[in-house]
Amino acid sequence: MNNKLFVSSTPHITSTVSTMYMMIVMALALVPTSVFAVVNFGIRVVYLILIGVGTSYALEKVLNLLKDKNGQWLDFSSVVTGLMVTLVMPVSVPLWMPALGSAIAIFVFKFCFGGLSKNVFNPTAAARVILSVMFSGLNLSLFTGTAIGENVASPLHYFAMGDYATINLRSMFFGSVPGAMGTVAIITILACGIILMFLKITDFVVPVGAVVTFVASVWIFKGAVGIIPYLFAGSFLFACVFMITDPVTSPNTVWGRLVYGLLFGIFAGLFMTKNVMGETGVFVAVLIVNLIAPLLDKIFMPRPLGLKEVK
Amino acid sequence: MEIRGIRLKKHKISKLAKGFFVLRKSENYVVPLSVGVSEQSERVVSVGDKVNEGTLLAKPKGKYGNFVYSPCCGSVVGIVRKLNINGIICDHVIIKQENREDKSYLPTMDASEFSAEKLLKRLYESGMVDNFPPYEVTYKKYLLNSSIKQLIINCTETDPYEYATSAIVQTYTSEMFEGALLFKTLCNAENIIFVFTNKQAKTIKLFKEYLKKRGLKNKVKIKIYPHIYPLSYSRLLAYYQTGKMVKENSRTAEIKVIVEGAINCYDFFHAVYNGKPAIERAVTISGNNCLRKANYFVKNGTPINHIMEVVGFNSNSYENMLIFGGIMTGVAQETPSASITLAANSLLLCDSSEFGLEKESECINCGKCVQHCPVRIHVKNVDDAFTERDFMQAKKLGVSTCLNCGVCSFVCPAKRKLAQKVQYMKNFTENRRAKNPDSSDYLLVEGEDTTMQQDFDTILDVKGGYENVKETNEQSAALEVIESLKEKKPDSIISEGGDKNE
Repeated sequence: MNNKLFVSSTPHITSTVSTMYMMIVMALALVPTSVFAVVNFGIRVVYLILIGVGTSYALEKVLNLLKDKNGQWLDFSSVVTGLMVTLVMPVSVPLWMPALGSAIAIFVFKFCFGGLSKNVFNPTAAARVILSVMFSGLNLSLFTGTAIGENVASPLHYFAMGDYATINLRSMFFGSVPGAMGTVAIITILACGIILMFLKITDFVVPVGAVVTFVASVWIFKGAVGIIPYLFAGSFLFACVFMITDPVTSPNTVWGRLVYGLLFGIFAGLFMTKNVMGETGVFVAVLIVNLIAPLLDKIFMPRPLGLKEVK
Repeated sequence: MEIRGIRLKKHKISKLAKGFFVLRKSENYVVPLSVGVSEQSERVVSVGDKVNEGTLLAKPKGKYGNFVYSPCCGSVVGIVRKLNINGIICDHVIIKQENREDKSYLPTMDASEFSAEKLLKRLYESGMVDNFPPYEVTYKKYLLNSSIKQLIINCTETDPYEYATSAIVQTYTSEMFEGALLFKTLCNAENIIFVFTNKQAKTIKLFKEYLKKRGLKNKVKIKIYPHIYPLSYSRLLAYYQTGKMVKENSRTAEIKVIVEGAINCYDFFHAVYNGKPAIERAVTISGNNCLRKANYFVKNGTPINHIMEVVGFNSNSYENMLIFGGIMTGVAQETPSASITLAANSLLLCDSSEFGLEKESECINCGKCVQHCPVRIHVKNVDDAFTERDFMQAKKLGVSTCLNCGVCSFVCPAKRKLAQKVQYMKNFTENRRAKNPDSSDYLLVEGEDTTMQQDFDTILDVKGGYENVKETNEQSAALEVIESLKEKKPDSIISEGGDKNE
């Protein structure tokens, strides 16, 4: 062997799943729901997405160049964040809104916390909550429209008043109802969620736990008739599939994740049925469980097998 | 009982792998006096001695070391002190092979004289070493105070390239089985169980057919586990069988279980019935650069150069790795001039498509390392403790229970060098404990910060390996000889052509 030999410490192989791969699959999983949004709400969605993703990507790159980290910005996480921030807004928002949302998510909730993986809150949920508090006049939370200046009540508004007849569940399933752009097409969200779990990008423990307690709490507060409408309304499934499964902000252990999911279901159910902050309630629930995650990590700390007791 | 770990794709070696090949004899054998990872033994031959196959070369020094026997007939032409293939500095005896067939084996044993003491003595004298982690000298497992309930014969193979155990069970079923029964007699075990994984369908079938022929079909227990790495670790097998985990730094005999490898059973059979000491080992030679992938019987001390010459290798490849042991736990060799020891059962000649040398990136807190760790260490927190140099924290997190299986590094999507860090913390705490055995706060010893810093740099940069390309072949071989000359003792010489590296 006249050529050179590499030397490394064990193990000499690693799995094919890398951070970049996970983020690219995550971004691809958001594509179908974006396509449905374009079909339902028109070409304006494309502009909003381009603005959101562009801002997020550019800002992340600039910030990391300032921080002098080589190559780290190229992991597609900023694309996912920008896309998600745009998709949780209604189509009627002004064009600068996705840019501002992305900027808040990337700068305040990611960079200021110390960059990738150091953030306590899910940047998307945090940016969405901040925006709806800052611009309550734009009706981000309860009323959403299909065009600028047009305010149509979202399904959650009718459900809050006990009216389950006005909104057709079939049209909710295919996303032709008012609401945040990416979160209304339930069929794509469910399909992408299943694919993500199948590819082991996200695990199934968190979403399943969340859905179980969500259904239970809706049942308690609104009765059995409200379960399906509430499940399909107001970004709950979107948050289940794309937000609380975010590896950075969720606990490490399986039991911790289960409790995390269960808690999210309870909070989301409570906020949505009691109409706390309208559609934003789900994202508030995300932030609350994000805060609980470190505690869950501590409680469900695994005990090493065969460890002698420390005196 | 939850079996944690990863599913590794089983790597197929060529159809030649059905049986075993015996390697053509090498011109020289460079026999390390520290077999595997044990301490060095005391040399009993000197330069100029004539040796036969099976002549004693070294014997244990007190509690440490092992019996080492000559793998071939020939004459001792030199003694050189260098790193062995497992990374331990020890003396190597260089034997120039001669075309004789003289054998001076141990005396054979009759079936009438089998007793626990005599078999233990034979096991001690044969110098056998485990071929699965933690590669210890085999007889040490049987120095026990308690009675043994279960003897587990480990026929599993979860490393992707390794095939030698399956091939032994398939080809030499009766020898393996008889050897296992000898081990049962040796430790007075109440029952014996053969453990396989569900990817070894053919091996299990052949073994069951053999048992049927012997009329033992329902008397011998077989347990089949899912094919999950790192199942074949003795501590884990004992845990899955009994539900009790061995405490750190102790042997499985503590929970009345002994785990023995199938290859060891085969070797022990020959040690007892033919008096053949541990001079060769069933080894899988594989990897993309290897032209004749197969199982071989390789003698202790065979230079890798010779093996590469015999099995053929792809010399057009530019990025290569030479790994002794499995791809998950094996030791990457800096030079092909090293020689084989008894402590592992595969040798891989890999090209760049088979190993990954990715750069570390930021942890994304996904928790995969925590969920996959077979001994449930919170690896992510150990990584943080490593960054903060917090040894107390690392000790509390249980780094001392680490098996060094490498699962955490394998699954990490950020490609962080987790296994290396855990192992570093483990070695550091254990060295400190060894230095200060009486002190309870031995981790708080101050004044070694500079060396610590160097160690950290070493683990992150040099051992990380992605830019660490070494010159090989003649240059490094020459360097090695120069290095060994520096440590030359009065009675040791480097003979001309003795440590020849071609």
